[in-house]
Amino acid sequence: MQNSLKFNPESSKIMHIDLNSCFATIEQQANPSLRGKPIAVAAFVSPGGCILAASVEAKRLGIKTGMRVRDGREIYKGLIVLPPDPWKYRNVHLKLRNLIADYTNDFVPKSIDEFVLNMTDYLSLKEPPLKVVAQEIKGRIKAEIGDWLTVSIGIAPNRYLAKIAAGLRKPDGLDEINWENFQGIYSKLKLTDLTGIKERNAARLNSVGIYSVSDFYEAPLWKLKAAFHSINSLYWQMRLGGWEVDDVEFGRRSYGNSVALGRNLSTVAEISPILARLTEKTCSRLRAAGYTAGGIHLGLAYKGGGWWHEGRLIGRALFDARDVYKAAFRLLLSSPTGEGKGGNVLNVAVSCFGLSRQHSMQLEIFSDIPKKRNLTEAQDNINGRWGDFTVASAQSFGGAKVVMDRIAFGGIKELEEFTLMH
Amino acid sequence: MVVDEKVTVGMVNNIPKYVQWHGRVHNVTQIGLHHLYREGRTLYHVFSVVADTLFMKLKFDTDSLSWRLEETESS
Repeated sequence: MQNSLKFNPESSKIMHIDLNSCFATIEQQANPSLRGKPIAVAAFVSPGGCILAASVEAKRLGIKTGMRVRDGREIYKGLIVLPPDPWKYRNVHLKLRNLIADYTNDFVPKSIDEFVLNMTDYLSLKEPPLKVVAQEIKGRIKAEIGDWLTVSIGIAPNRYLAKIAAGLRKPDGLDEINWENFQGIYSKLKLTDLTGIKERNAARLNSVGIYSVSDFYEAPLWKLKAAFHSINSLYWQMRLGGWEVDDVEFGRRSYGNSVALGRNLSTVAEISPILARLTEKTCSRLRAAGYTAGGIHLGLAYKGGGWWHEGRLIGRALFDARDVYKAAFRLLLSSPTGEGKGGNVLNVAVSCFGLSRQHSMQLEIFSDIPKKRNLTEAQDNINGRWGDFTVASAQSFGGAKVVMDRIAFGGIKELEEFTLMH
Repeated sequence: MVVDEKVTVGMVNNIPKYVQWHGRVHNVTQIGLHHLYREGRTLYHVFSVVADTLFMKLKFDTDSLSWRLEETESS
C-alpha cells in the first residue's frame, strides 16, 4: 500500500536563507587577506579548541565544525585559526534581519545564520517568481552587507523542505523543491541527508524496510507508525509531502549559560568562580527579561565523554545571583567532582527553570526580599550604564577570564536579547 | 596581532580614509566590515579595514570621540 497523502500542489511560498560558513565567512569579510584561504573560528585557538566554523575553503579540505584545532591542522598545516568575535556576527545577523524585513515581516530567525521567510503576503502583492526574489536578496546581501558573504537559499511549500533545499548546494546555492521536481531530488538524497534523521532514526526506518528518501515518502502511515511509534510518523509523512507542520514557535522555558573550559578542572575551588560567573550572567539575563526562576540545574561534562547533571526545585522565586549561586554550589558539591572524587571537568552549564513573571513577591522571614530587589536593580542599572560585570559578586571575578561572550550554538533565544538600541 | 594603541583616523563621509600610527600615514584602501557594539551605554564603532599593506581593526569610542587601533597584521 502506498502513501495516500499526495505532495502539496501549491506553489512554493517558504524561503529558507542560510549564511554559508557564517562565522568564518564574516571573518573573511572583515579581513580581506583571509579570503580564499582555509580558516576556522574556534572556541579556543589552542590545539584542543573546538572548531565552531570552517571557511568554505577549509571545508573543501575536509575540515568540519566540531573538530579539534589539532585535527584541523593535521588535515591542513596552514589552517588559520581565529577566536570568535560575537559582535561581528550579531551585527551581520541584524543587517540580514533588516534586509529581509524589506520583503516580509513574517520571518523567523532560526539561528544566528538562518532565517525562514513566509512569502505568502509578498507574493500576493508582487509578481516575480520566488527564485527572482531570492536572486535579488543574494545580490543585495553582497552589495549592502558584504561582498564576500554568500547565502544558500531554499524554496519550498513548507519550512522543512525549504531547509532541505537550502542544503542541496553550498555555498551560494538556490534550489526549489516542489511537486514537479521532488521525486528527482528525493532519489538523490540519503536518509541521513534529511534534517532530523541521523543513524538512530535511519535504523528505525530500515527496520520497516525503508532505505531511501523515496521509500520514506512513499511509505504508508502504518509503516511509519511501526517505525516511530508516535505522532511523529504523521509529521514526517506531511513534511516530506510538502505540508506544513513546523510552523510552531516554542516559548522560553529556561535561562542558562555554559562554558567550555580551556583546560580540565577537577576541584570545587577551581570550578566555583566559574559557576559564580555563569550564575551572575544567567541571573542578569533573567531579570532583564522580567522573570524569576523556581529551580536550578547544573550540568558538568567530563574528559572522556562522561556527563553529570542534576536539577533542583528551590521552592521560592529566585532572581538574585547570590541565591542561585548557593543552590548551584550545593549541586556542585553533590556531583562526582572534587578532590578524591575524580573527574576532570570540560564543560559547565547552569540554567534556571520554572520561569514566572511575578510583580509582587512572597516576603520571607529570614531574607529581606525588597532589599534584595533594590540591590539587584541598582546592580543592573550600573552594569547597564558601564558594562556587564562592572558590579558583581567578588567570587565571580575569578571566572572572568574563562566565561567569555559567546554565541550559543544553534540557539535563537539569545537573539531576543541583544540590540544596539538603548 | 593585538595592538590596542591610540591612533588618528581621517574620515570622509563617515568612512575612514587614512590612519596615522607611529607617525606614519596609512591610506585606507578597503573597508572589510563596519560593526557596532555597546559596553554599558557606550557605543563603539569598529571598522575592519585594509590600509596600505596592513589589515587594521579600528575602534571608535563615541563617548570619548577617540580612536584605538585594536589589531593589525600585514596582509
